[in-house]
Amino acid sequence: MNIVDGKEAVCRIEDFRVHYMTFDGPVKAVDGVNMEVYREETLGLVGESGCGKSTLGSALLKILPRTARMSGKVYLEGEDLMSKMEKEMQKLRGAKIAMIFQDPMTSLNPIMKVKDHFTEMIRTHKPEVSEEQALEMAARALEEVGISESRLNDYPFQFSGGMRQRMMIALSIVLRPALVIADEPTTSLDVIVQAQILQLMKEIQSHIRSSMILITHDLGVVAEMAHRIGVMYAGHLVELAPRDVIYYRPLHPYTVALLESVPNTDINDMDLDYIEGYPPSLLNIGEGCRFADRCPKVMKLCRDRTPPDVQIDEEHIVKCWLYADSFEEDEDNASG
Amino acid sequence: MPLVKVENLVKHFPVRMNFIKALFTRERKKVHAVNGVNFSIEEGETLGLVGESGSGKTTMGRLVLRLEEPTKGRIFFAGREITSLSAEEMRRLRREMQIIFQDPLASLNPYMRIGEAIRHPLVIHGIGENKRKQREMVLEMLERVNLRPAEEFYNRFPRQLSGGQRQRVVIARALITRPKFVVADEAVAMLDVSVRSQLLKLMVDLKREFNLTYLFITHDLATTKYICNRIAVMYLGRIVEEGSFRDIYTDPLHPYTKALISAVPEPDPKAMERKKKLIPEGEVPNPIDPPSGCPFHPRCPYVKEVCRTVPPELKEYSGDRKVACYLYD
Ligand SMILES: Nc1ncnc2c1ncn2[C@@H]1O[C@H](COP(=O)(O)OP(=O)(O)O)[C@@H](O)[C@H]1O
Ligand SMILES: Nc1ncnc2c1ncn2[C@@H]1O[C@H](COP(=O)(O)OP(=O)(O)O)[C@@H](O)[C@H]1O
Ligand code: SF4
Ligand SMILES: [Mg+2]
Ligand SMILES: [Mg+2]
Repeated sequence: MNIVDGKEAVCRIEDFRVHYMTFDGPVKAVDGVNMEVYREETLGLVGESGCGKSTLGSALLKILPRTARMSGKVYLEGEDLMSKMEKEMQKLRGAKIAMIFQDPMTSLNPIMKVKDHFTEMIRTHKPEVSEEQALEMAARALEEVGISESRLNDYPFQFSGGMRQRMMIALSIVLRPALVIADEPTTSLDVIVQAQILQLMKEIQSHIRSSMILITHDLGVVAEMAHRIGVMYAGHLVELAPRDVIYYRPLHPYTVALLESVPNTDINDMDLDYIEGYPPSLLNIGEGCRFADRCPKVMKLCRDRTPPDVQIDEEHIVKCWLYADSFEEDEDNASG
Repeated sequence: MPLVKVENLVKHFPVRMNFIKALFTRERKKVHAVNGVNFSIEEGETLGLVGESGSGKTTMGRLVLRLEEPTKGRIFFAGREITSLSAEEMRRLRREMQIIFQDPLASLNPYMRIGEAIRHPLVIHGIGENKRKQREMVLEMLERVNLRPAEEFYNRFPRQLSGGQRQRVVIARALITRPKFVVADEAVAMLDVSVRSQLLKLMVDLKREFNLTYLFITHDLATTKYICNRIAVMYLGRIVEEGSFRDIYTDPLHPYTKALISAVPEPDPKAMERKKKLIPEGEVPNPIDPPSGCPFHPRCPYVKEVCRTVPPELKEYSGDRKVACYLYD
């Protein structure tokens, strides 16, 4: 474990890449991401669809399809995940690192009762726990998310969307993992149920003191939930900073444009801004800034070379040539 | 005279049941999708219909266009009642009333070149003297929705386009017959923020240019700000409140509207912290067995005795504001 400026990093990701091998060439879904997740924080990961958020999230648990080639380093509480074999990963999943998906049904077995999901999860990791104790733990976890223990005997399909997501949350935290990855956990829920679930996630997190990576396309959800925010664009992490810095002092031209184009509810701001064009295809994508085609400040250099991660201050990183004066001559960093 | 008007519109669907179950069930259960809705839309105006999923928005949009037959109620278009027009009469009217759906991929034939897809309504309604003239009209429309070079886009297939481009195709196809009225059902909901705003801007511009009247259906309140003159909030098949974005957003009247607005996550941390959270417990009840009285009463913090029995009517509150709630009687 390493401690940075008094903040302890639970998870550290270094020059991390995921390329999907396809017939037509590699889809560079995650391409050189560096970041840390601090203990007890919520790190929001935002970006539009296809920018690589889910790929990054799932890569941390190593649950990607076979066609995905990973490189770089991921440390979880000091353990090097990339060198771990599948057997070892199985021991970590659920226990040290857990995932909450947009649609809980994809990760639940429809013909298994709720209680069996819990007992299986608990006893795989803790064989010493008796069936009875496991049920007790399950009941307590359900209670924490506001579900009566009488529902242990129900099947997942008997739950409403919101209740199912509560149950999924209970299941993911029952073993008190150090890191929870929530991938669009409220995206398919209606706004009032979403507000209930977000509130619950906040309470649970402060209660069990885990760290969370909250993946979402919704800039409202991260404003509400995250301590720090990472903005992804086309496989790159283009900006990473504390929440208010992202909203009120963003530097990356994409972050700036994104925030201007999101419909807000301020009745004094009736201008509708938007970004021209579309994100690029990640298939066989080459060197250069991936926002260059849509960027109002693009320079020649941007198209030729991938910008480095520029450290603006202790907590603010921007992947953009505009802020990289000292990098221009530095070939080594320019390819990062 | 409003361009579109509906009176006491009701739509009940039979509950989808499997055959065996249907054999043994006496009682025919119904989904109360739309439960007595009244509204009108003036020419050139955009009415936003917002609400959570299952509140009846899509059914409402389809009823207005008579893509769905109402169980009860009346529909007027340009002053004329269309509730019981024959299929042939409706077919002729369709060029004046169009619909844009949420999912462009599902509403485009994957094997039809997009130019031909847009030309299709011209063929159906016999607009344009010949194929060459129709082609010209399509190219012009492609230019207008920013699919350039138009000649090139004419020959592409839907799968060769991005989501945003496909939605432009769907808009072009809806507008090619120069309709007066367009129902946009979650037209920008599936798109990402940066692209969503592009399309919203396009729809606003086209509205002015083609003098359109929209029924803009969405679950996302924030998008209505830019395009709607008035907003109607739906809950369980009823309109519970109607007013301008400004009024609804800054001073919601109905307890459900208050809850809805307080639940919208603000893309601005300071605005979010200022906001009062009034999140009701529980979820929307099943429309097969909707609550008696006010549809919101089981979750409402201000519920009174009368709320449980008689549904409140949507009544004028002030100026152009309406609300269906006993707190304002
Ligand atoms: N199994 C796969 N094979 C090839 N490409 C994939 C696969 N899964 C995802 N991708 C591509 O990787 C990119 C990132 O996808 P994803 O991680 O799902 O993004 P997000 O979660 O931000 O929407 C996209 O371009 C997507 O098409
Ligand atoms: N063809 C149908 N048959 C049965 N029920 C339907 C049908 N269409 C819609 N419904 C039901 O009617 C209600 C309203 O649906 P809908 O109009 O699609 O709402 P919204 O667009 O607001 O999500 C829902 O409960 C839905 O399941
Ligand atoms: S690197 Fe260049 S193109 Fe990319 S965001 Fe910065 S200025 Fe724009
Ligand atoms: Mg995703
Ligand atoms: Mg709908």
